[in-house]
Amino acid sequence: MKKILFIQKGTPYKSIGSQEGLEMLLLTSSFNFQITLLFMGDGLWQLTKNQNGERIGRKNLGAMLQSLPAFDVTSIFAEARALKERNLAINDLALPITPIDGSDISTLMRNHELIINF
Amino acid sequence: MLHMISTSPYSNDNFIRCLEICAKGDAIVLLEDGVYAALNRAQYKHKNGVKIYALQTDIQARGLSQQLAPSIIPINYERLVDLTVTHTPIQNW
Repeated sequence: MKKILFIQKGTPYKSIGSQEGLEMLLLTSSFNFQITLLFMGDGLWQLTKNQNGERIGRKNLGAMLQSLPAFDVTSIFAEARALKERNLAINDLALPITPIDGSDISTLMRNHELIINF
Repeated sequence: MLHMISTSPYSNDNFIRCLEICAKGDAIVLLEDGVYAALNRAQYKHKNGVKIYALQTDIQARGLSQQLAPSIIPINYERLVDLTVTHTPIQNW
């Protein structure tokens, strides 16, 4: 089974990129791939709770993220350093993630056949 | 694996993050504005066992041919294609 790593690096509402990345991931999950999701840098901001994208006329990214387990996407990581930089506590995030750092990130990358960045 | 950097190191920290997490045997290709990271002025902590290549056409386009750091390996497109085959997966920073 082909392994695909999606990396979310952008803030949730600056451009449509983050939303499209997530939509692509959800679409891909309906095919026979093993999917991993990694949040890096400013992508961590997609994980805040109680988002309300509708207030600025956008789709609620936080709500989309919370549907991931229903799509069998459970392999979700977040860059530990970025969490620390932004003072984000793991329990405070919209969905369960595994913190990961440094060389573990490159190992994760190397373990996938395809890496898609958003 | 192969890391591709296409933005200037002065506009974001992609190149620095890439250097931090890359491992022995990886290759880094600087192309488009990424070639600004190939210059002989900035001090980047290169990693042992990681070769850094830079696309010649982008270097020449930007008038940087005389300013490359000695450890940078200039390449053409064919060599770039070779690298994408020999070093998988590919991370486009």
